[in-house]
Parts: sequence; C-alpha cells; structure tokens
Amino acid sequence: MRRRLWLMFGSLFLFVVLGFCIVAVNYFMPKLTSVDPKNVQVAQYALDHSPMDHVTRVYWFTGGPLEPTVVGTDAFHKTLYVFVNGQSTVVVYQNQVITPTKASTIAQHHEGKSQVVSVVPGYVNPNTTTTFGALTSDNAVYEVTLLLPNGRYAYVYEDMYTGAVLWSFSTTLHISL
Amino acid sequence: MDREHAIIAIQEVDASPDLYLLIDFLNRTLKHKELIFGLSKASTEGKYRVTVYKTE
Repeated sequence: MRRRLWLMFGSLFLFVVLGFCIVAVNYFMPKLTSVDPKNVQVAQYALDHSPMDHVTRVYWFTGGPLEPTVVGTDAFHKTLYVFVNGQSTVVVYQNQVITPTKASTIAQHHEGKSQVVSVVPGYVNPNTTTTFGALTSDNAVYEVTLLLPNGRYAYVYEDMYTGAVLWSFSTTLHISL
Repeated sequence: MDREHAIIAIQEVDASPDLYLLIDFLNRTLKHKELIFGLSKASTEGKYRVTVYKTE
C-alpha cells in the first residue's frame, strides 16, 4: 500500500515537473532566439547574389513594396547596401551616397525641430506606380522617420545620392509622450 | 522577393575594387531603359559576375 502511494506521488511529481519544463521551454525559447529567420534568409540571399562578404545589418524598407536592404562589406572592406529587388539585387556603395547622419540632418532641417527615430535605406523600382518612382532620380532613397514635438511622426524620403528631399508626410495620429 | 526580372546577359570578370563604380554608373544611366545591372560573386575565386536584368 505504502509503495503504491509513493509510486503514485512520484508519478504525479514527475508529471508536474515535465509539464513545467514544457511550458518553460515554450515560453523562453522564442525570447532566446535573437535572430529573425527571415533576416537570415535575406542576408544569405545578399551574400549569394552580390559582392558582399560580410553582413552587418538587415533593414526592411516600407516606402514602397516591403523590401529588404542588407548592409555589409565586400572583399575590399568597402561598405555596401544590397537592395533585394524581386529576384535581382541592386548594389550601392556607401562612398557613393550621403551618410545616414547627413540624411538625418537634411530631414530635420526640412521638418524643423524633431527627433530622429530611424534612417532606413531602400530602393524604389523605376517602374513602380507609386509617386516615388517618378520622383527619385536614382531609385536609392533614405526613409528618415522623425518624432515631432507635437507627438506626430514625420517621414522624409531623400535621394541617397544627392540628399534631395523627394517626398515627405506626417502622421495624423497624435501620440502623447 | 517574389517578383522576377528577366536576365538578359551574364558576364564573369576579374574582381576589382572599382568595378562597382561602373555598375553604379550603368544603373544610374540606363534605368530609364528598364535595365538593372547586378554585381555578385562568381563561383570562381577572384571573379565577379555582372548580370543585366530587364525590369517589367
């Protein structure tokens, strides 16, 4: 009788421990995975289809159709942007375009007092039907997101080569800080 | 990443630190002709592959 009781409690204890482990693994594992599989796939695509040898960052450009921009260096240690556009890749080297810092300065000058939230390099397809396709001269653009003093966000699109402001708009949503 | 561009031509050339200048020049000059020039590593060591795409 006593043995049966121990066996029952032992089984119950093991069952509870096992359940706890399953819950813990399901809860913590997604938090421990710091790399987005989609980013890894895009980075590998850029490595396979451009002169890029080392990836430093992946951006997702939302100015047109959602498309990734991979940043890295080539065999000659030059920094380059790889725009994955359809099945093709377009390569733009950093020393050919203005820096993100310069792009931020231009955007802030355009919008007035504001705080830079992000600067995302992207590519606009020359045949796109959106306004950007007609406005940009070289297709490579910076999307600068600014937080305005009134709590709204402003988006400024600049030609990566010239820094010319192509298009800008601000959100109508007021966000209290 | 699902759209496809038609490949017109592929040429392998020796890897050069200034090759990107030519590719960039071509992309900026001929974009109105619906052409995109791609630059990638070739399977052969020390070679780059230049691909010419026709956009839709």
